[in-house]
Amino acid sequence: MIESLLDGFAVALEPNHILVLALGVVLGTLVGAMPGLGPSGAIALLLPVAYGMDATTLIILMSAMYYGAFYGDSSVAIMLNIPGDAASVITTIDGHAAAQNGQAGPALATAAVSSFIAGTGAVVLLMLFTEAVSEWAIRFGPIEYFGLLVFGLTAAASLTGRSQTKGVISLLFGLMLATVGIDPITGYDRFTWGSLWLADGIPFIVVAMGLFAVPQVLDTFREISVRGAPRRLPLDRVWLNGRDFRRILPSIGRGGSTGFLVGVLPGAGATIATFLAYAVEKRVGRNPELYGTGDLRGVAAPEAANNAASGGSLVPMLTLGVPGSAATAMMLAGLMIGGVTPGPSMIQNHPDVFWGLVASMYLGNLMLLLVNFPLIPFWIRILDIPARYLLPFVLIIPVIGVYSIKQSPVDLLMLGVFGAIGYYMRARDYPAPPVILGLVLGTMLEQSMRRGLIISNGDILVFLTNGICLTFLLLAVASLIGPLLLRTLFSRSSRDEEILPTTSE
Amino acid sequence: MQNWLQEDRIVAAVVILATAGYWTDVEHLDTLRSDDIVGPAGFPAAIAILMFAMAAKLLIWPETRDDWVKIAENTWLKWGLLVGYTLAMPVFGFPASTVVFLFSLLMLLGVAWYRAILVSGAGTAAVYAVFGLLLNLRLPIGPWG
Repeated sequence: MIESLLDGFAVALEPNHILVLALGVVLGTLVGAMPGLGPSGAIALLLPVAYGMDATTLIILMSAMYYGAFYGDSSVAIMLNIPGDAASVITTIDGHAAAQNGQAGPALATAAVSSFIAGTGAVVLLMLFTEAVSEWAIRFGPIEYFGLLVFGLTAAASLTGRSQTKGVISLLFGLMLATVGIDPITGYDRFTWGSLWLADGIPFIVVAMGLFAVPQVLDTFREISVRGAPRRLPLDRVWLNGRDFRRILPSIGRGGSTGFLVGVLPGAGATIATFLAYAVEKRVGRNPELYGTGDLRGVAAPEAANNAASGGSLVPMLTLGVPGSAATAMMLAGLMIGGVTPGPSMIQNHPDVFWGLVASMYLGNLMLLLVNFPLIPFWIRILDIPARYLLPFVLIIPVIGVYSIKQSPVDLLMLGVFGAIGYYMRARDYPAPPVILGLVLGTMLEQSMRRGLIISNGDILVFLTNGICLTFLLLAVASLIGPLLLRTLFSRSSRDEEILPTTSE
Repeated sequence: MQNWLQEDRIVAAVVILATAGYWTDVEHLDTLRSDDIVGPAGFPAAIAILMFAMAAKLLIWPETRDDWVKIAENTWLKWGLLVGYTLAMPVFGFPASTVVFLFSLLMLLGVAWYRAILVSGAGTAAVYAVFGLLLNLRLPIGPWG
């Protein structure tokens, strides 16, 4: 294995490949910053040029753009509160709050460092445990996925903000949106009322831009109108200090572990990983009341999960030929264009491509840090531009992103409609992240449940007799009830202290 | 005297009405043949029932204060500009619509007219160069292209 890895490094460190790595990271960052494109869009842009490239160069470029796109996504989420991809929605919570507190630089640095550490860790795990992990991943069927997704939805309970009722309403709204379109099992139209646009389902990017970007910008416009002066975000610090780094390190570990384990499951994707990582962080981290106020741990955990999941999602793609996400599906297409068929025999038939990929992932992560870290002061200078000049352009980006999906005027109109809904939700404390979670997970949850019941011939107890599913369901219950119990116990014990007579009495 | 007409109650009523509309399709789906026990209606039905319950809770126990959400007139205008831009772009093309949109928005934000012209023109060109040409996204040119 070491020899093969060294051979891979020898390939990846060729001068032209280093150039390709650097170019890929920069391009990926730019493309990833574009809402609606993200990592899958970045890879898709490469497909037309894939025909002229050899497989090794192609895979190196794809992996560099893949990682770069995740970082670009996060940067815009942190600075402008615009999630370019479902996986960066969670980063907006603490990331943008940190930017508003003058911590844009440390937040961006946290994203870069967390991505590097967790991404590198994922590559090591990929290298060491590819076969074992793929054997574990292949055991995940619809019943196991159901348990995982229910557990994932309990993460939404941690995102409900101040009002649990409003948070649950947001989540149910997202689940309702997920049911619009063609039923994946029977093929019937659902909730389309004859509309061709609705038959395709409601695009995630329309909802995300409508609920995040539009209200954010309109709210800032309102502040400008009220205050009558340009509003600039404060810039206190640019870098992470030693104390910040020690503080975020456990979050990186937890988020990275969660991300890799979820990422190896085909179809699970980075979105679930980021939501779960954040939920775990809020449950386990000290001073949970600080999450949501700009705590860098709230950036580190989802970013680590995001990158670790992206590494993990390569496992089923490379070993089984089953892409773990839209982006890896694009990579699969690119590899096949290059004459390489991922699957169980890839390591034997194309060891140079496989180990070249592993080596390029190490180097891609490192390149991401080396290229983007020095650019952080440049990125945060963008926040120096007066809001009344910057924000109109910020409003154009979601419009371009939405239009780029299908060139549909209806999508654009719906952006405005969701923008109005999102503005009201923001004004009245209905949290937006649970809507996204419901929209993204709803279809998978329903499919898993129905397929599980088909497999078990309608026996609903199968979800309780399956060990993996039961474990996830118990974890879900524990994560919901546990904090409530603890809160009740602690409040009771503090009340007991009040009514017990003091020794002086 | 308790004020019954609270904002949360109105929102809850709207949610209940919308869910009732959603439920009409659930009932129709329930009549369709399906090989799986849950069918296309099962999951939506469960969501609708939960939504009715949560909206009813909000109706009975509203959470927000008595004052209503204040949305400045200017905000409606800017939102309207955005909607107008999204409707105009496929018809008149990205460059023309974007220049007009940016100019109008900058003027509403109090930017001097000559700066608004400069920024909207140069900005549109830069955005088109990056997204339309460099990233090769298919942005409409309009009837002039």
